Amino acid sequence: MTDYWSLDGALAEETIVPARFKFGVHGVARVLEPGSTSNDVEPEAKVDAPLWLAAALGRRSMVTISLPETYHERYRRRLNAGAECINLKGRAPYFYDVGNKCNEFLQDLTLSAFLARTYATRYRELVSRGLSTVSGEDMLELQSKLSLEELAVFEAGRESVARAELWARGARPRATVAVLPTRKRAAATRDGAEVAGAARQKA
Amino acid sequence: MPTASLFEYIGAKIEEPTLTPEELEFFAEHEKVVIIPNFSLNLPSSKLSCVEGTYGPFRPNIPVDVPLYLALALHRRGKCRIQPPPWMASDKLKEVLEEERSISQYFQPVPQYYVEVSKMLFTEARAIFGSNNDVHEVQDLIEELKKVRNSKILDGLRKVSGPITVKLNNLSASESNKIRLLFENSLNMWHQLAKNDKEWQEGRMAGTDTPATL
Repeated sequence: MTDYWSLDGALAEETIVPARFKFGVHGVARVLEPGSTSNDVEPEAKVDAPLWLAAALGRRSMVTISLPETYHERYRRRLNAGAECINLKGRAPYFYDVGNKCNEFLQDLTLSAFLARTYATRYRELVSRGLSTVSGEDMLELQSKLSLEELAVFEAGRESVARAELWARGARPRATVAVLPTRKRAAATRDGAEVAGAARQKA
Repeated sequence: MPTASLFEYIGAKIEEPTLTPEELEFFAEHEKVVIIPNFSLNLPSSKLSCVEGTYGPFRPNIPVDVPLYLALALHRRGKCRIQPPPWMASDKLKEVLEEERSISQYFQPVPQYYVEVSKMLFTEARAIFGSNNDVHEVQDLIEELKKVRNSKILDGLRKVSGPITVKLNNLSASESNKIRLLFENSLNMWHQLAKNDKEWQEGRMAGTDTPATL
């Protein structure tokens, strides 16, 4: 599998995927579905599980996985119509990744073509906005709509161009200022000394 | 075959770019320029032995080829006069600019480090170009050239719509550095998205439906 320590990977796998349990499961119903009445999951019950759980169970053929809502017909139609206007960050921040993972199980050829097509349209916007440093309103607007994968690409492009322009102006990149611990210690000793002095005066 | 997640790539992206513009400037300083020294070096055969090569002979009023860092160091000490490199003559630049504007499919050959070299010469050795007007003229021409090439690059990038090869020839070092991160990573994304397609089509044709593994 991929990097075990990858933070983004772990977060992506938290997305909920509708799964249907082939066999019953004891005792976990409350965890998976907080409002369920019994403690057990019935066989053939439809439960929403996080992707990591669904994928692991799917490998052992204990569940059948279906696509999350964002890949269904309705959304596909919307995305095919106007891909760059859809806000992916709110609805599915790990759009491409989850889509790819689900595809392993479902092997839906149309899904990957669809993902590629959405990426193509959004990518064009990405490029034209990403490689200029004029940060206007439209750039912020675009940024709020990008999924997290696209956002990383966007930021990378913007960062390299900003660096190059900074260098061309002759400026140096500003080093991040760290909080100086020595000042705090000096203040502490000063206070400590004052307190000690006051205590000594009293005594 | 497990499909690796896209996140292997994203982790690498968010770090610092691998090559900073300052490093590119360092590489650019190795470009050769012609200088006219006004001193004579008191060493055998008047040659200066540096780590990377020997330069010389340094005799007054005889032009000699040295790397840019050496030329600038000597200029700072007032020991030489730097000749502007031949590609920086304003008529040459005008020609290249015209060609760049008229042909939009590919780029004109430019010196690999033209951005860095021009920036360094403008900041440190403005006098070498002649009068103030000339300096401004050359500066403006180079800025124009940068802008035209930049927009060409963006146009070329926009046309990418899959894991294909794009023809971006004759890019200078600083231009390719600017688009390096964005381009590389978006191509990675394309490959990821296309990888699924190919594998299953082949799997289906071969008739083996591999059970999905993580």
